[in-house]
Amino acid sequence: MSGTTPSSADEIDALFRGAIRSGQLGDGERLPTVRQTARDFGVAQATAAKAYKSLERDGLIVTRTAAGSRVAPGASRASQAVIEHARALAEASEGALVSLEDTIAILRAVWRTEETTAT
Amino acid sequence: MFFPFVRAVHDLLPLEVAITFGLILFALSWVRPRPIVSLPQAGRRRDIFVWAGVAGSLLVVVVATAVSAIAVSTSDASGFDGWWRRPAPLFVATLVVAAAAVALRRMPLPAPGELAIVPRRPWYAFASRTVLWISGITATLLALTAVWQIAIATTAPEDGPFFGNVPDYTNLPIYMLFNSGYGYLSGAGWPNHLATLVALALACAVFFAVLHTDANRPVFARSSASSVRSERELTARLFTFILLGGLITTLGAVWMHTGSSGQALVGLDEQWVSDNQSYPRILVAGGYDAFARPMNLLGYALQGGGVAFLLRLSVDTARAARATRRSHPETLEHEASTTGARR
Repeated sequence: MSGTTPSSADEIDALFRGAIRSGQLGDGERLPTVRQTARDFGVAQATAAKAYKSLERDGLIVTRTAAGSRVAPGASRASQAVIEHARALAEASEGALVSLEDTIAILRAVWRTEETTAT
Repeated sequence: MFFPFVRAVHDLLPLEVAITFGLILFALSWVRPRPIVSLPQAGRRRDIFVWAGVAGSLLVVVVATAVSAIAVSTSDASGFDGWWRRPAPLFVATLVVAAAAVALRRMPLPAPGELAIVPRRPWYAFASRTVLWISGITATLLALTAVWQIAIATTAPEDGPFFGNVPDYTNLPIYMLFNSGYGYLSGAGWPNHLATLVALALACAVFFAVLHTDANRPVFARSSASSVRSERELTARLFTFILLGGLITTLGAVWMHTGSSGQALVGLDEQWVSDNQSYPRILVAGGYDAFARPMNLLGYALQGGGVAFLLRLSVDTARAARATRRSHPETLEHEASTTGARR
C-alpha cells in the first residue's frame, strides 16, 4: 500500500479494487463493514458506502443485508481457501525467517514435484 | 505437636475457602513447569498483558478467596445470601478482560495511509479451538446448573415442613420440594442463581466483543504477517484464560452450593438403643441426592482448580515478562504510530 492517505470514495474504491484483483482478498472473503472502513480511513460513512456501492456495481463485491459485503465469486485471483493458505504460508515463512524469494522457490519446487508425481 | 498445627492451618484455611485447594493444586501444577502463556516481545500490548495477566488474575483469586471465606464464616440467614458471592469471580474476571480491552483500544492505530487491506475476521479467528471448547463446555454446565436450579424452585407455605439449612421464611421461590412434597429445602430459585446467569451472559458478551474487536483491529501495512498473528493469538489466549479461570471458580462455587443443598437427609422411625440414644431406621433423601455429594465434592475441586489455574496464569505471565525483558532489553514499538488515531 502506498503511503498516501485515501480520503475520497474513488481512492478507497481503488484500494479495495487493487486488493481484490491482486489476490490480497479472496473470492467469498468478508470485507470490513462500511462503518469500520470509514473509521479506519477517517472518512464519513457515506464516503465509504459510496466506495462499496461502486465495487458492487462493477461486480467485485456482493452485499447482503445480514451477511455484509463479500468478494464476488470470480472477482479475485483465487478462492478464499487458497488465499487463506497463502497467508498461512507467508506467516509461517516470515516466522521462520525464510525470505520471500526462497518461499516462492520452495512453492515452485513443490508445485513441480506435484506435477511430476501426477505425470 | 503435629495435630495442633494441622488444626491451626485448618482453622485458618478451611477447605471451603477457595485458596486452600487452590494452593495445593497450584503446587501440584509444577509437575509441568512449562509456562502456559507467553508475551509479545515488546510494546504497549505487552505491558497491558503483564498487568492483566499478573494483577488481573491475582485480583480474581483474592475475590474468590474473600467471598468463599465470607460464605464459611457467616450463616445463610435469608436462604439466598450467597447470590452475589458465587458469580463474583466470573464478574471480576470479566471486568479485568474488559479493562484490558479498553486499554488495547487506546493504543495508537496506523494512519489511514499505512493500513493493510485485510478481510473481516470472525471473533474466533485467533483463539485456540481446544481452549474455546473447554470454555464453552464450562459455560454450558454453569448455565444448565443455574437454569435447572431456577426451574425446580418453588415457594413454600410459612408453616410448611422445612429441612436442611432452614433460613428465615420468605415468600420468594428459594425452596425445592423434598421427596415429592414431603417438605422443603432452601437454596434454589432465581434469588440464588439469577445473578450467576447475568454474570455469565455479561462474560460471554464481553468475550465475543473483545475477541471480535481485536481480530479486526487495523493492521500496519509494514507489519509482518507472522507478528500480527502471533500478537493476536496471544491476546485471545490470555483473555480466554482469565475468563476461563473465573468461569471454573464460579462453576465450582455453584456446584458446592447446589451439591450441599441437595444432601439433606431426614431420619424416620427412630429406634432407641438407650434412654438418650437412638438411630433412624429409614432415611429419606432429597430429589437429587444420588449425585448431590459428588457434585459438592467436584465443586470443591473446581473452585480450587480455578484458583490454581489463575495463580499459575499470574506466575507464568510474570515469568514470561521477565524472559522477554531479558531477551529484548530495548523497547521495540511494533504498533506505535505518532500519526495514528486512538480507538
